[in-house]
Amino acid sequence: MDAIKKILGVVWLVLAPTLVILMIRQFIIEIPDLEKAIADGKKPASEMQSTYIFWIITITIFVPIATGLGLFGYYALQNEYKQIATSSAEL
Amino acid sequence: MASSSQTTHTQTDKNIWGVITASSVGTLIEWYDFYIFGSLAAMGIIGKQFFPGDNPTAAFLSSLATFAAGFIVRPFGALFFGRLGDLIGRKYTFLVTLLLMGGSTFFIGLIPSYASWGAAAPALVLLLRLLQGLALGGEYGGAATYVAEHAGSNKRGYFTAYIQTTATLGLLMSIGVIILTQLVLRDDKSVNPNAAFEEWGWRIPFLVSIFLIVVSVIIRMKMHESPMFKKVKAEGKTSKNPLKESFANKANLKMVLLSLFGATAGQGVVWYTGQYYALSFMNKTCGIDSAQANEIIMIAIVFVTPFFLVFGALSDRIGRKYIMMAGLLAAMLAYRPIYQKMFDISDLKQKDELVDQTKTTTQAELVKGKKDSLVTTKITKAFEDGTTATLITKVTKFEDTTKKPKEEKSKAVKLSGNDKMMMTFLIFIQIFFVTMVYGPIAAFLVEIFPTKIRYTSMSLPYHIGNGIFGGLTPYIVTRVIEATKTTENPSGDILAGLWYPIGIAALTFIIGMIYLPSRTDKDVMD
Repeated sequence: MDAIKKILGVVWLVLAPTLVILMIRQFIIEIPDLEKAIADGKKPASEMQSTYIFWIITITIFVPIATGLGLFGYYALQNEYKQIATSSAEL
Repeated sequence: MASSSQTTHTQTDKNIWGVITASSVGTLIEWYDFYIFGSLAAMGIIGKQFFPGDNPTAAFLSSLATFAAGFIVRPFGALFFGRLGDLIGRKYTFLVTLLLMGGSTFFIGLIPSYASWGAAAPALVLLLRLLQGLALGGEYGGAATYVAEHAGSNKRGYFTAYIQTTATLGLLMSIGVIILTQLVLRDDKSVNPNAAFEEWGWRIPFLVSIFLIVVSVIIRMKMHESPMFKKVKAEGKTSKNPLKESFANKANLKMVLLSLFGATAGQGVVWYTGQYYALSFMNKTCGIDSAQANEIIMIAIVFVTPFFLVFGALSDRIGRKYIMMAGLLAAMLAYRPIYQKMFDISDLKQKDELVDQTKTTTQAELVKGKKDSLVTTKITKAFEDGTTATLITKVTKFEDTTKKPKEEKSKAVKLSGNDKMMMTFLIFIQIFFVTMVYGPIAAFLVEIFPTKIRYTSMSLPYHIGNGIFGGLTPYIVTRVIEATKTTENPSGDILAGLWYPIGIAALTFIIGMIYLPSRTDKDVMD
């Protein structure tokens, strides 16, 4: 089980920046598509504002959370979760 | 000796029920205050009043953004009030949060609409919503800690489960007050029977809050400080800097991260999918009449709420971990079939229409205070299984003929018989999963952290999990569905958004199963 905890630590460590990169990539892809759809009259202009709001909120919030996931992965890789504290004295 | 022991036991039980009542009533009212806004946003009323837009989806997203803002600040409230609670005590801290929440809610009910005040109206709503989020961030951790620090180790899960029921009961209460107000103001002779509620009646649930807060403050003023906090304070062992001790101490930070990714993140999405997104899905995607959707949620909540106590008590016997993990697993496997079934039973295309019973009425009027004209067409349809549907089309023709007429369409489906029962059952199952993951979690979090920094340490992962991962669920799910809409498929993939709660629940399940201990520290005296 300790080996699995350590191996998965690498997964969390890689997953954290990957999620942030995927979010930013999706944001970058969506904007030109939306601009085209608005120019073609397929979507209302107000959609641009809501799209910006969505992505700015999402990326701002999830970057620190992803950093936390990365840190969790790092601790797991260091085998810090081998022994979980069962009393406050150990904390 | 036996008699003395029995007397002490009875006194302790009496004390704990007083503690549970005082804590739960206040927390219940805070949740009520918080969810009125969300319930009205899900019904589209907040959007219409404060976030007008040509695109109803944009208005809906704007209101959800405000809703989300209430959630995003929750972790900051957890840090601010958690620190205060660890420094000056639990009792006074959650008196402040109660007053802040009640005041903000009351003032939201007083803000004029966008039509009267322009942009100042939504700006003020946003500000008050942020204050609500801050207050809620400080409340829950205090209440859970306060009850847990009074409870014995063999019943901690059971006693703290009463605090866990308050979020769901707060939602129930908010929907109940909304339904009651709608019923009182309903005018069946009008084309839109809920016109009075939509125009001004929605303010009543906000204004009622002031009376509830007064009652709760009186109850809480009579409470005593937590015995464990008093002991720690008397020994001079309170934390000098709870934030530093909670998050700069690696050993504690490790546990904060584990609590977040191994428990509260998944719990948050299951809570908000099962109760909040389910309501939004019934209203927006299935087109179910808002009063009936609220009624369905209320019935399901009434029947499922006792299970919070069942799973809280069970966690005292078999441990917290496996109950929470089973709830996460069940939710992630069942969500897509459940939501597909919810859509199918309300899909009018799959029902046989009684064509001879179809009625159409048209009403033309001038828009108040303008020379624009409004034509409302109402079509009422009946179906063989007893389902009825009202389709309303409103066309506004502007005085300025160069402007294109504005068309708004709405649908209100009323299920009957077996379909209504099935919909209620599907909501019941989702909230049952909530009781599994949420019932034992307060005891779990309390047992992980020491007394002197407990309020701060447990509040942060709880509010990131619930406020951010959970609170953003309706917002993210709606956004994902919007992204799947194309010219060929204008409705989009209605189930695509569910990958968000399923993915987060899966991540939490894996981390929880592998890293969480099956037994946590039962000694919360340190």
